[in-house]
Amino acid sequence: MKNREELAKEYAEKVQEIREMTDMEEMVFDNKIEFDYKDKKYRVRKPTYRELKEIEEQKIKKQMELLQKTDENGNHIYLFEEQLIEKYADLGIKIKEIQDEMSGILYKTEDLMLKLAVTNSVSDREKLRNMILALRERHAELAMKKADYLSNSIENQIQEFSIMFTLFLVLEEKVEDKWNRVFSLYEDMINSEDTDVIDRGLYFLMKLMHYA
Amino acid sequence: MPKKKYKPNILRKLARSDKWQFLYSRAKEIGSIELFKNKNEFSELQIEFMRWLQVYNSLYVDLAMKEPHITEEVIEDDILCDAYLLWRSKKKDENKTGSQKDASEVTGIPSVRFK
Repeated sequence: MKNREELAKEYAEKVQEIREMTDMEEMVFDNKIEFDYKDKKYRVRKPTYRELKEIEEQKIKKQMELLQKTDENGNHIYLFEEQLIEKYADLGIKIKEIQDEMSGILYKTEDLMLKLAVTNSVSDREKLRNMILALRERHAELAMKKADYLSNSIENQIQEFSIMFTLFLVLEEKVEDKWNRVFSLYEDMINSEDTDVIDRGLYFLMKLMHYA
Repeated sequence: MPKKKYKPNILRKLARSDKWQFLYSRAKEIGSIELFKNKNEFSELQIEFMRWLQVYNSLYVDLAMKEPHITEEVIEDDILCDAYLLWRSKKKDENKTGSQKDASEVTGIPSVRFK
């Protein structure tokens, strides 16, 4: 029998899941999500075509900026993923090995999934299911490790910039029944000390744009 | 062995819900039911959601047709569901390859596959 704490935890998880389902349904229905923060109403919405074009233009600018940045010796500060992988290899960090392990996990997972699909034994089913989940966890760990190593790559920097710039365009607050951008300049958002509203907006944007 | 916990995919959960499956079926039959507020310019999220609506619709059809290895539990569990979908797609590929092979054996003409 479950104790009171376990029941409370289960209940909290259920409530959270219902909240997430409601939020998701709202986003799916009209590509917008509203949220409250410090007695104000905010929303994140799908960017318009004009905004998407602006994001693309800004991404190109950012890429040029990163490509041109050099240190005092004239060496490029930002490198492409492929270049970074080579640099790491010189230092003895084999990112290729991480990638190979990840590919191996995918093959193993597929094999186990095909067994899981046709098994009728409850115990085998649980065993296979747990093995698949363990492999998926390991895959996620490796993906995170790889992402950490490559976080400063040009590709990653542009991706991050693109997400933040999108947020700047689509994060709005309600002022007298009108929706206005929260920040008038991108720099204002980046330098803002109120990171809570940015984090919340980011959370919903990632879902809306299906990044996560 | 205790069942390992994982966080279910909320978009998939929504897509397999009775409400959305009902709306999807009616929209397919009648055509005039709109699933979203916008009629075009669908977002990535909406496209992914439509994909899952279609996938779960096909799974409920399999269940109704009493296809092997599909149960309510399979539909409700993302891992079991992924496993079934993979197995189903492999089986379809095998059947396709098999029927192509049969045809070439009958006609004596080698089959050509365009990729």
